[in-house]
Amino acid sequence: MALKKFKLIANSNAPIDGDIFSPNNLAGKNIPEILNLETWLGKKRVKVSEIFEVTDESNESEELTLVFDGNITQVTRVGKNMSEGKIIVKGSVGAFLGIEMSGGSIDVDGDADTFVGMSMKGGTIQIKGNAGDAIGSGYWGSRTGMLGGLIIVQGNAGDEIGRWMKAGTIRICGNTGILAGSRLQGGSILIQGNSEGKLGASMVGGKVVLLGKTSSTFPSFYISEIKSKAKVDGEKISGPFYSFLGDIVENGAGKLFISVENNPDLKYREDFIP
Amino acid sequence: MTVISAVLCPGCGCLCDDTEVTVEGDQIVKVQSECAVSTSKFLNYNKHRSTTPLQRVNGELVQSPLNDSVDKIAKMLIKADYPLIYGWSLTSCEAQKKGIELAEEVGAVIDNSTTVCHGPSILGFHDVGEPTCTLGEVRGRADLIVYWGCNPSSAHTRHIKRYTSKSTGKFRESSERKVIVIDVRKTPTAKGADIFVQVEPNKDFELITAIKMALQNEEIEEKSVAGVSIEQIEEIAEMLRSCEFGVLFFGVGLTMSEGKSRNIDCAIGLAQELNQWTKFAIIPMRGHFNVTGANKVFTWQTGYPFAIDMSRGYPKYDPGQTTTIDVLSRKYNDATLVIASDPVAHFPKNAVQHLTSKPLAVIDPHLSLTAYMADVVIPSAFVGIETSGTAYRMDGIGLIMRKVIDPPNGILPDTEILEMIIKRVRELKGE
Amino acid sequence: MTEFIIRNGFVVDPINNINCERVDIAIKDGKIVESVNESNAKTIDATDKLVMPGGVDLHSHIAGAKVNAGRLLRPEDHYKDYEVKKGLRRSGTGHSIPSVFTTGYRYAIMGYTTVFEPASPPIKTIHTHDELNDIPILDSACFPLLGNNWFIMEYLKEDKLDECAAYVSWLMRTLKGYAIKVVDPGAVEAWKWGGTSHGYDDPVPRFDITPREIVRGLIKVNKMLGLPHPVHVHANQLGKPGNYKTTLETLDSVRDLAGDNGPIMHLTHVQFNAYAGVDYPSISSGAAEIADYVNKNRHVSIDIGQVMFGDTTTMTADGPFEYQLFQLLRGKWINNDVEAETGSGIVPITYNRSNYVHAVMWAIGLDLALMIDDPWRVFITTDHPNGGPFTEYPRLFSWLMSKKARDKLQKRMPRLSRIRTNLRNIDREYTFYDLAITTRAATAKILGLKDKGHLGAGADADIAIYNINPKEINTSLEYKTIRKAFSTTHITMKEGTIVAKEGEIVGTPIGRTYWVDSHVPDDLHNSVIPEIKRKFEDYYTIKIDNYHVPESYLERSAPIQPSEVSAK
Repeated sequence: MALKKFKLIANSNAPIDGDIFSPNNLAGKNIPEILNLETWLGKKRVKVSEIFEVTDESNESEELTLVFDGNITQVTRVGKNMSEGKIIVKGSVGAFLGIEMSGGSIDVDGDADTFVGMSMKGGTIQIKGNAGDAIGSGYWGSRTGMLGGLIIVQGNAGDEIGRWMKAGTIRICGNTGILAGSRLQGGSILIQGNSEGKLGASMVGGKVVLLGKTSSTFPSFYISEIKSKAKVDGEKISGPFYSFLGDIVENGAGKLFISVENNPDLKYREDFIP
Repeated sequence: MTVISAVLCPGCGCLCDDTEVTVEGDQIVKVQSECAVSTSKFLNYNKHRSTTPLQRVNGELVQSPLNDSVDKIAKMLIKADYPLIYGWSLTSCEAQKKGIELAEEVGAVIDNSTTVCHGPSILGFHDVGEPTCTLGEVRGRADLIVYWGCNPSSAHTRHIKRYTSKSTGKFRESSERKVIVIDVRKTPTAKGADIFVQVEPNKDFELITAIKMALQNEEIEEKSVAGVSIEQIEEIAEMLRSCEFGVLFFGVGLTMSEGKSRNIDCAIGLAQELNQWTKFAIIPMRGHFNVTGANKVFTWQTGYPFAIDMSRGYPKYDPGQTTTIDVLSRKYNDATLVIASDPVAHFPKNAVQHLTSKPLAVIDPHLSLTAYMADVVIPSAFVGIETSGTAYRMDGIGLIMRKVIDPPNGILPDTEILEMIIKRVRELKGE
Repeated sequence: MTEFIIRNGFVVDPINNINCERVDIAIKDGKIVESVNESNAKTIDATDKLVMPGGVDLHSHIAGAKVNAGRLLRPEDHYKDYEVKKGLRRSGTGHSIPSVFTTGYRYAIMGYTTVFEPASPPIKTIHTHDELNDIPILDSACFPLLGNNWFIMEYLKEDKLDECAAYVSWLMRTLKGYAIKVVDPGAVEAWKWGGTSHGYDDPVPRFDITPREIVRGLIKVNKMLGLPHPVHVHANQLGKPGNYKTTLETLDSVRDLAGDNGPIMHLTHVQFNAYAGVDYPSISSGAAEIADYVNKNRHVSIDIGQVMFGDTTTMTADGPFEYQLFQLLRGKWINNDVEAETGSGIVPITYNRSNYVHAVMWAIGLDLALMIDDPWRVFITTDHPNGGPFTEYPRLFSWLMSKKARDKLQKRMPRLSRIRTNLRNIDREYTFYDLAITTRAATAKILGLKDKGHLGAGADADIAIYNINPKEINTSLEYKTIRKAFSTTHITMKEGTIVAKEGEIVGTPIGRTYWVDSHVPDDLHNSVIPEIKRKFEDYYTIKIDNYHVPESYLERSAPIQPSEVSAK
């Protein structure tokens, strides 16, 4: 059996540490063994049996798949450190989804909280709903964010996407808040919707591609040209785009690609194209 | 009649220590201070006071013996799956230490008012550091003062006269100093400045960036940034670069406007960069008289300054998750102890709704709004007036606050109340 | 109070000339005694184990403003190294700047019982004591920073030695300090005006006094006041290639002031000040010249300040140095100038053995430790956390005791670093006796702590029992065993209370805070106090009344009278 289904039955709203819920951790374990594992519900140590019903279901795949049936917004750090297998959440999930993961995949039908893919090194996270702030960032003070992998958010995302990110790709199909790509060091961020502004602030490397509208750009980004396409992960995204280089005050060589069509307010920048 | 001098004032983060208080019997009858806030604090502290322990019975707050209230709080904290202990900025370091001990004992999240104030400053600081100094360095040497997103004339009333532009130091007369105020509106502080720069709301980050560009002689391809002309930006950059010692003070105008911790990251970076040309420092304007102390004590006892989750028996720091507003808005906590703070008066609506929907206890000298919504209330003594204790000034200098008068009968300092709760918790846990 | 007999251990007690002999140790009322009533006493079986006095670390940044600023700067340093609350043991975090409870426990588990904080900005000394109060188990003290102090520079400029001594005496007593600390004398004041390079004979702007004059003046003052420890100096030009010359100048600049009572100046973390070469690519070891000087001149003692590979945090009152390190590394940087007194700077760093400069720095520390002949004047430190966290000491001990260990590591370092330093040619290996001297006996002696660092009758019962049999171990080869044994004691005892047992904390008594109750004759004191008060009002932004640290503020005050201190 390669599929385990989890149904949340906790009667407390305290945060649950979901770091035991990774395919690596549960591989080779049968249901009684899984039910006997312990984790945190707030300050209490609880067995999985106290907070989840777990059943086996069949599935063709050989890799272990964990399916969470319903909302698990109080469960944090789901998929921590995983390197293989699959997690599916049929609802919304708590913060730190996929923290430090290096392989495998996570699919969320609902929304994700903050810090999706924190310190991620590889693998894929897909969120059908919205996600919170600081996707692909790193731990406070570490000056290092995501190091690899792919995160896709079909809905909207919050602020500071890809803060300190070094490598990997983040795709937001909807809108983002402010400061997407702030402190970016490498990797790519693609935003298909709009950005609320302060795009790429303090970035030194990597690229941010915006298909929608942004309220304004920083003066510390110099326009270099209009490009017909921008490349994200080998895929050629159609523009045309205003191509900016910055953040100049950080001696940055990061690249901002902003849709020409959706940003008429930026037309005046064309005068500065060398 | 007793006259006590060199009294520290618990009015704000300036922590001025030159108030003179005259006590007659059980009353403060006279206060000699240059500050209206200080005078008012010492003369009016007894108003809206919480005078007796209370418990909510059938929906009403009624008097209850102290031991009962202590017992109820202990039980509430033990029973909860994820208790929260919030406040701390208006009490002594000794009490804050008891707080960490209690949080560790009951597995609580412990947080202080930094979480809604200079939290972003600390988050920015984690990433870049901070070139700073004590206020005496400012007075001794500074010839350029910048107030950004703060209004000391109203909020830190002696700041300018005691520490900055109107003060006299060993190497600097007040007449030799210049003041730049950067704010979204012309505040009282701005009216007294040499230069007022009106920045467009939420565009502080952009303005700091433009100043950095001007310093680096990079051409700015705009006519203005954040509502400020390039000419004025270049003028400011030149003033910053050519001063002998400049200091940037900042407040919630920077921490709570769009960009938050990234604003501070950028502002600190500006101050760091200016050290290539001159001496430059940056100092956050801390509001409560001992919020700095709370950060310091929490940090040396746990490694972290606020938003500490002790639920697993060790300190965990995840701002964005373990910060009070985030805990409340996700409805994670199921009991709260509030001490030396009034969150019901200040927090967002949904946070307050959850806060008051779960068991709530308050330890405070005042019958605050939070106390009115609580299940258990214990009155406490005023630190710096009725009980002594250590506090830290906004620039990190630790000082010992005095006791000038006894608290009313039956009212204990926070330290003793917390010690009673810790003791009761240990008894109940069978230790 | 419980009486103990530690039986059958191999005792190393250099002050009492005992070298790995089987000696029983009797303990009563927290002290080592000649004998106890055997029927009452509890036996601690130390058969085949090594018994040493508890470690005495004279220079480790464990408490105070900049230490705490370092903690605040680096949540990423702590979050993976945490300690869970267990029994008596409070929770906390490491790694390079542990929280206060963790600091006490980790030192105790290694067998250290006395650790001194070597740098406290005077106006922030309430903060230093606030933290020291919270560190469990360890006896401690703090050294007020005086090398850039306005009062002192003014007194010394005018040759007012008596007044200066009166001021220092007042300050030491008022702030509950232990010794005079001088960091980058004069240069920190210069840095407050933007200057980052300051030589030993460059006058300080606006004060017109040189670092040499400051150091000499304070050594004279120290002598006048009879303080228990020599003036503790962090020399100018720290970190700069070629600085060994300034270090030699500094050492020699006070030779004429030497007496017969042992060192008059302690130069600290000398590794950072022992660089030859003209720039970083050409940096090489200046340790031979310095060791030669120290070997020929008995008026100085040093501690090494060894670099340990890995991630750590540099922090020092040497603000200008930290600014330059920031410019080099372009990571995080804190600077904090303290009014009228001193400054500080903090920069995280990772020492990498494949980095040529770091490899040279690493070798230099060991060069110093092994080329200085007199173990009573060279002490083993990492300038925690500047060179590395104190939890790395056991590894450092293993290198001192085993050439094989050193060679093995050095092979994996850039070849040029081996050529430009002396270490590869040094065969000397520390014995347990040497180790006991340089980490306990000598450090206790130089601090003037007559009841520490030895196991004779009258000493505090601060004892470390290590799981190592000195008769059976081949220390040259079994360096991993050395490292393991010194990481965790079998038992650590503090004043007769067992505090650690095989890595578990079983006792958390309150440690002392030592301070010097220094006085000058009343008429001298009365003559200077009015001016001190007047200037204080002008120089500081607090009232002089609030500068004072009341004795009751110390959790466990242990005043020392200067006359108490035995001749060194």
